[in-house]
Amino acid sequence: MSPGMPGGAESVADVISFDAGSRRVSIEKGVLTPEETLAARFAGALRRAGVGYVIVGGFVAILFGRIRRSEDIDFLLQPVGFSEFEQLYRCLREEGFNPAPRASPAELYEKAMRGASMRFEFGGMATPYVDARFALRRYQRVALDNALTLVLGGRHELKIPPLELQIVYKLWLGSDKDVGDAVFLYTLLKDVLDHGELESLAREFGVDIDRLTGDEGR
Amino acid sequence: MRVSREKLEEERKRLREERIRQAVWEAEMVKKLGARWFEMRDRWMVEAYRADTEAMRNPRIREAVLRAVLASARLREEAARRLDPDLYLHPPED
Repeated sequence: MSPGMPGGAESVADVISFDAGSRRVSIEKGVLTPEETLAARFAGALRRAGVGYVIVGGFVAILFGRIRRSEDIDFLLQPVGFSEFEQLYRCLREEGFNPAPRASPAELYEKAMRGASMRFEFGGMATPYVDARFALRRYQRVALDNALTLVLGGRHELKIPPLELQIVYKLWLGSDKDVGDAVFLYTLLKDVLDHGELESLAREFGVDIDRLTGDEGR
Repeated sequence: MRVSREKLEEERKRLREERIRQAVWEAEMVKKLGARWFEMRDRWMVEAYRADTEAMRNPRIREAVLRAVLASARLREEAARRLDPDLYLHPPED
């Protein structure tokens, strides 16, 4: 599968621009929302620990301007050995993230290696929280290995999956909320998406991309 | 009160269509208003977060939210496994 990439340097709104060459998407904004700040802090801790990541799930649509809140921010992490994981655990604790329920690095690592998610709270808030898991599955690794860089407000960098994969994956999940996110991203970004890649992914996942335009069953 | 299956399906279809229309509208607004859209949306996000922070000071609310979070995480995990256990747990390699 060839990873998708928005084609050419283009703008889809006066604040969103794509640069295909550097695989960067920029959203110009003055201040970050609390959820974006949380994501940027978690990403900062991962960078300091040298652990690769990509943000997936509903929060990607929210980054692009959806009006909805999410109780969690989903991160896929590059699988690492236990000593690197201990370093990551330290960096996250220093940044103010605590595993919930409380767990030792060894307990968390054992969970992560099974593909289960680890929940991290910040500042004693039950929500929003970070849901992180190792990218152990094929499509998780594709998302991680082909991530785009989203630059918020000119200086906060977050890794997001190829947009075609994100859209098709959301369609595959299939709940009303997920399909809504897929339709939102498609409608906003259709001029910069790789439609061949979108169709190819849709075939692999067995989803009908006509749902993105409301043409299904017509 | 009993609700017929057809009525229920009809209502679910209506809600689904409404959500899709809303998603399309939001995307069109991002394109049309750009920076202004993000300013308005972000203001709402900040106010909602402040309200949450305030509510979370009440230990009973915090406890209830935590219970809901755990239940919803468990349901999502189960739903994903039900949807496609092979892809989710043991995805086929190329």
